[in-house]
Amino acid sequence: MKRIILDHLKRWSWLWLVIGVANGFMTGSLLDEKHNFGALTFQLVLWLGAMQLNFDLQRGVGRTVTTLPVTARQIGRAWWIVSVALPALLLAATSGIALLLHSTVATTAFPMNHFVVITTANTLFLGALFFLFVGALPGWPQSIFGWLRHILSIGILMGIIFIQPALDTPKGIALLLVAAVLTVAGWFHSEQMVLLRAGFRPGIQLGKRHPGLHKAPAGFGGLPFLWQTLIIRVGYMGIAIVVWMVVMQLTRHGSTKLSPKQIFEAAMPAFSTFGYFFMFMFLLLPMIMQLRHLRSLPISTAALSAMLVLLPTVPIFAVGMVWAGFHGAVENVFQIPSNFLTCAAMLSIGAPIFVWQGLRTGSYLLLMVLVMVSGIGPLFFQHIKIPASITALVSLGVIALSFEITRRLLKSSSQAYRPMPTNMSGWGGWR
Amino acid sequence: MNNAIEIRGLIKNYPAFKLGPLDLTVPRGAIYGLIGPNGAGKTTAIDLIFGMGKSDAGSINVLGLDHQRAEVQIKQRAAYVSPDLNFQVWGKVGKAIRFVRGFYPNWDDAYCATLMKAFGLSDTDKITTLSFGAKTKLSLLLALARRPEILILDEPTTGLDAVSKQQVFAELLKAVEDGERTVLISSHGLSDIERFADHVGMIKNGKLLLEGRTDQIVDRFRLAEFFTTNGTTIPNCNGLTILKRNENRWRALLDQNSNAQNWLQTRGAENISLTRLTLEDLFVALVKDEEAK
Repeated sequence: MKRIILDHLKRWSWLWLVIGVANGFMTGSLLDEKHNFGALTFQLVLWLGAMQLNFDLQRGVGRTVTTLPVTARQIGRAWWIVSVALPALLLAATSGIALLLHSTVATTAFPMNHFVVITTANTLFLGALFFLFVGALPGWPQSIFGWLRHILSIGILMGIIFIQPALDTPKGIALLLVAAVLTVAGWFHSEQMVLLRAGFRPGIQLGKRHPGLHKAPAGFGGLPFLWQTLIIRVGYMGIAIVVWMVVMQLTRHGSTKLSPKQIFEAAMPAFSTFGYFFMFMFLLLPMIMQLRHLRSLPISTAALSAMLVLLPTVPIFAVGMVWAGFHGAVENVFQIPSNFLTCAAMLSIGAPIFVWQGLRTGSYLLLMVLVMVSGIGPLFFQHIKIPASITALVSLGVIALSFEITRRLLKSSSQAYRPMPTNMSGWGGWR
Repeated sequence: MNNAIEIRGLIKNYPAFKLGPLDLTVPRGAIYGLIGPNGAGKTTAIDLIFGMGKSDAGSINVLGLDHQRAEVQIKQRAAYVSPDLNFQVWGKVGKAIRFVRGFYPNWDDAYCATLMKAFGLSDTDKITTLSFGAKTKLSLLLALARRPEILILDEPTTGLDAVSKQQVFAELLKAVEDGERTVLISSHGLSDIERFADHVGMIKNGKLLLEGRTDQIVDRFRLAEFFTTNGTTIPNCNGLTILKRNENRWRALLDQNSNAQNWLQTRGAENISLTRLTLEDLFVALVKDEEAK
C-alpha cells in the first residue's frame, strides 16, 4: 500500500505542487473582495484526487497494479488515500498558510470559520468525486445504480462549481451531507472499485452484439458527417447543461418565470472556463483520438488543421451571435460577438497544443493553464476598456496563428498520432 | 511507371533513432513484405509515406506521385490498415463506415456488406465492445471496401488468433487476385509473410538489409555447415557470415551469389553441407550479422 501511495506521489508531485501554490493564492485572494475565485478553487480541486487517478486508470494502471502482490483492499485504500486524504491535507495546508499570511499582513484575526468551511468543503468534494468517478465504469451505465451514480456525479459537480451554494444554507448543508456519505462510502467501497476497474473489459462486459445486421450504411459521410456528428453530440450536451442551469436559477430565485436575458445570464458560466473544458473534451479530443486515422484519409493537411481549429471555435462564436441577437439593445452592438470571438480564439489554442503533445499529460497541463488563464485573466483586466474592434482583430489573429502552427505541426511530426503503448504509459512521459 | 512505391535516400532523425538512408522499391501488383524486429523503423517508414511526419532527406513516390505535393491524391488511391487506428469516437461500426465511405467515390457498398458478413461485424456493433481482432478487421474492411490501388498494412496480424489471421489473409488475397493492386505489409511475423508475400524487404535499425523477390532471396542464401582441422579460424567475409562455432564444427550463412563457397574450401573447410533456409532463419541470421557489425 505504501509503495502504491509513494509511486503516485512521485509521478504526480509536480501537479500537486502547482495546485498547492495556486490554491494558496486563490484562498488568500478570496478574502479580498475585489477578486472572487470561489468557483475557480473548486475547478482546481477537480484536477487533484479522482480525476488524476482516472488518468492513471485510463492508461491501464489498474490492471497492472492488481497483478502485483497486494490485495485489492490495499490498492483501494491506497487509491482513497492519494485521491482524498492526502489532497485534502495539501489543500488544508496551503489554504491555512495563505490565510495565516493574509491575516498577518492585514493584522486581523485568523479566519478560523472560513478555514474550517473551505477545508471541509474541499475534503468532502474530493471524497464524493472519488466515489462517483473511480467507481464509474467507462461507457454508458448498465444499471440503475450506474445511472444514479452518473446523475449524482453531474449534479454534485454542477452544484458545487456553478451554484456555489452558501454552505450554511439548508441546500449547502444537504449537499455537504450527501458528499460526506459518499466520502465514507468511498473508503469502504474502494476494494470493490479496484475489482471493477481493474477487471473491466468492455468487449465482454458491455458487449451487445447484433449478429446478422451486415448492412452497409447509407447517407453522406466524410467531413460533413464528422461535423454533424460532433456538433449534434455537443449540442445535446450543451442544451442539457443550459437547461440544468436555468432550472437551478429558477430554484435559487424561487420563481417560475425567467426573462430571456436572465436565462442567458444563467447559462453564461457554460461559456467561460467550464465551456472551454467542455469544448476541448467533446470536440477537440475526439479529433485527436482518431488523428492517425484522419491522417491516412484523403484530407489535406491544411483542411485538417482548419477542422481542428474551427471545430471548437465556430460553435462558440455561433452561440455568441445568437446571444447577441437575443440581447437586443446593448451599448455596443459588436461587444458580445467580439467577446465570444475572444473565447473562440482561446479555444483555438487547444488545437496546436494537442497536435504538439498528443494525448500526453503535457497537453492536459497546458490545457489547465489555458483554462485558468482564461478564468483569471479577465478579472485583472475588467477595468480596462479595450475597443471591440481591437479585441476582434487580435482574436482573429490568434485563430489564424493557431491554424498555421497546427498545420506545421501536423506536417513536421507524427508524435501526436504515433501509437502509444497504454498499459505502462502511466509510468512514462511527463511524470 | 512499373513501381507502386519508390523510396530513395529517405532519412528521418529522432533523438534515439535514425531511419535510413532508406531505398525501397515496391513493384506494381506485388505483395511486398516489409519485415523487421520491433523498433526497426517499419512504422516510421510507413508514416512518412502517408505524410505523418516530415522526412529530413530523400524522396517518396507513390504511383508516380510525390508524396508531399500529391498528398490527397495518394491517399485517395492508397489505404492504410493498422490495429492502432482509433474508431472509438464513432461509437458504432456503421457510423465509422459511413464516415470513411464519404471520402471515396468508388466505395463498394456490396463488397462492404460482404466483408461485414465475413468479419462478423454488424453496423450496430459498439466499437468499444469490439475485441482487438475485430477492430483490426474493421480497419481492414474500411480499407478494402474503397478498392484502393495500394494497400499498406502495418502489423495487421498483431493480436489476431489463428482463425482470424487466416480470414484476414483470405480477404487480402481475394482483394489482390486481379494483380492490379499492390500490397505493402509490415510485420515481424515472418511465417505469414513467407506464405503471402512475393517480394520482401528486411529492415533493421532503420536500414534495409535486403530486398527482392521472396523465392529468389530464399534461393540465394544457404545455411552452410562445415568442419575445420587444427584449430583453423574462419573469419566473416563477403557473402559468408559465421553464425556459430563449436570447436571444429561451424555454421554460417552463405550467399550463393558470392564466391564464398570456393573461398571456404581454400581456407581448409571440409564436408561443406548446404541447407535451404526459411525466411525466418534467414532473417535471424541477417539480423545477427548486422548486430555483429
